[in-house]
Amino acid sequence: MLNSVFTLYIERWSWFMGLLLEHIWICGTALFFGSFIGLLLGIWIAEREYFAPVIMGGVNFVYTIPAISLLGLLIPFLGVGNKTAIMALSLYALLPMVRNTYAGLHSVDAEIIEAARGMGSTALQILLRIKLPLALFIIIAGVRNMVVMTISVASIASFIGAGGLGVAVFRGIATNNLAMTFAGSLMIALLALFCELLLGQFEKYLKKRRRMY
Amino acid sequence: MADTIIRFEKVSKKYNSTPVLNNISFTIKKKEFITIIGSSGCGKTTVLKLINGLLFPDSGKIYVQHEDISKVNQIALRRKIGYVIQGIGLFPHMTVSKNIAYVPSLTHKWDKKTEKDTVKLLLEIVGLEEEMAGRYPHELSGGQQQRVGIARALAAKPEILLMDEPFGAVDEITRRALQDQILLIQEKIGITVVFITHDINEALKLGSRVMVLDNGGIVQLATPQEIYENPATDFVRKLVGNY
Repeated sequence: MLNSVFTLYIERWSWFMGLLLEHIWICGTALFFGSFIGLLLGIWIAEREYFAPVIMGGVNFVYTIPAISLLGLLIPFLGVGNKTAIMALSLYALLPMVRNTYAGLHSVDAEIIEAARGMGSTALQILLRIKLPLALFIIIAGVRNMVVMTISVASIASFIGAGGLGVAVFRGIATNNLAMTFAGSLMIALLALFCELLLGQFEKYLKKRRRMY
Repeated sequence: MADTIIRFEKVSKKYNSTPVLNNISFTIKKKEFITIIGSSGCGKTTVLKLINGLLFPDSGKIYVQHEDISKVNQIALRRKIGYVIQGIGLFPHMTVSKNIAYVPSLTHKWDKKTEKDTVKLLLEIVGLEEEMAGRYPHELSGGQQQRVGIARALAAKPEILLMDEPFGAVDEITRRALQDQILLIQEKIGITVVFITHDINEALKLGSRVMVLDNGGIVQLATPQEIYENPATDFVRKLVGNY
């Protein structure tokens, strides 16, 4: 089994590399939009508590839609292919990002914020120089969560014609080629693991800089 | 009147419907060291937060440096007033140096040399070693943290220093050292200090005048000696009885 997987990798090396790069591209784009919009939404509802239930309810609701349904539901609007995949993945990425940004900003000690306010900081200065840096590690936890999830869910997107490593998995299933399914899955898992490790190292570096050990 | 720096004129403040301050008026002169004492919940902190505009009075007027503070830019007002609070007011993600440079950095960027020199000077004023500048708050003892808190409040060269039970969370020996230090600083740079405490010994030791608050009003505002010798009410008598 493993032998045939490696034979596949060697024989179709450039095809797998192409799929890997496409997978990275789809996830990267979705993560960019998801984290950017998620961060802004998280900040917004942390500063304007009034909107929090609506936004949190909304992103929670999206999260409960099965991936395959969400992809299907988006087809009428964006057609089949990568665009729909990126849209769906961005929507999924919102929840961990919004939730952790919101929770992170809320975790900042009220006394510290009061001190910053009492010393004459503007609301923007408090956000940028006090709240966000202090919420950083909770936000990073959300990013890690989001990255791993996006990489794995992205493989399902091949079902609606998107590229990426899901193509290998689906082809393996369709042609009853277990080695092919396994080869695709293994690369997805390794990619997720690699990104997780990378982010873990980045977090460690930041903590070391603040001497939090 | 020329040397008046803070003036409350018939100030009242309620939280929801509970009155906290009831029609209080007083004047603080330049370079005075006012200590405010009273039972908890008597509005001590409220008085302080009214001075730097963190709270607004329901009625009455407050003047800081002859200006009605309801009519000035609150942010600019706060930057001119040093503020030290109890416990963990330091920013945990910044070094001592960055903490101290915080208020000046809100309005303009300090170059590296100015920051280094000023921080060094301020650390010296509060009695800390220069090597502390690169440390993070969690690498300091409670007493050292309070000293950094004072240095940070002094960084923008304020004329008024507000201190809300700054030494409440440290041990007795450290507290005495900090008390001596703040007296020394006040004498050296001639700043006006408004200092909240729940410890009568501290209030009498530090204050050039002591303000006793009870039931939302000023019971007595007088020199420590006067408070000690002629307590105005039973409340004050009971307070100094422990002395």
